[in-house]
Amino acid sequence: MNLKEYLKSGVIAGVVWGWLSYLTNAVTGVFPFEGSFAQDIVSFSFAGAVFGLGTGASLALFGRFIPFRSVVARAVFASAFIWIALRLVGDMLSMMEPERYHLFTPGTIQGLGLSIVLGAILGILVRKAAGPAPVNA
Amino acid sequence: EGVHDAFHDFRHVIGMPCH
Repeated sequence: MNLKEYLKSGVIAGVVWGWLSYLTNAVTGVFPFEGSFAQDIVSFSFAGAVFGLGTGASLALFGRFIPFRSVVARAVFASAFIWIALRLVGDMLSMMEPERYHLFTPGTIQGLGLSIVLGAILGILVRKAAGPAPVNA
Repeated sequence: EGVHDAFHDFRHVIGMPCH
């Protein structure tokens, strides 16, 4: 599979994940939405696509270094790794400007779970795009 | 970051620190 296929799968997975994130939060009620449904569905789709694109690119470029055989497991690892890296930077920002950047534990737990979901969706799409594994290879 | 306002809900939902 080439990079383009990974990016395409990443964008599709990301948009679906954005909608799923909205739905998940609507069910859990972890964070009360402040924007309208129309505004949020657009922003969640766009931000999800960006996250999916980044995760797909990371999987394409660094996937072979991740010590798992299954592409789904590698995608979950890549997605969770990126989320943790972003969260650690967020922690640093929170330490520098605590009035501006608040840490929110229930949101953190939900976010980590959602990052695993993004990896799973991406991994499944990549596996489908790659086609069946060669027999007796 | 208007850009902040646009993605405010998304960032909270995925657990990133925000206002």
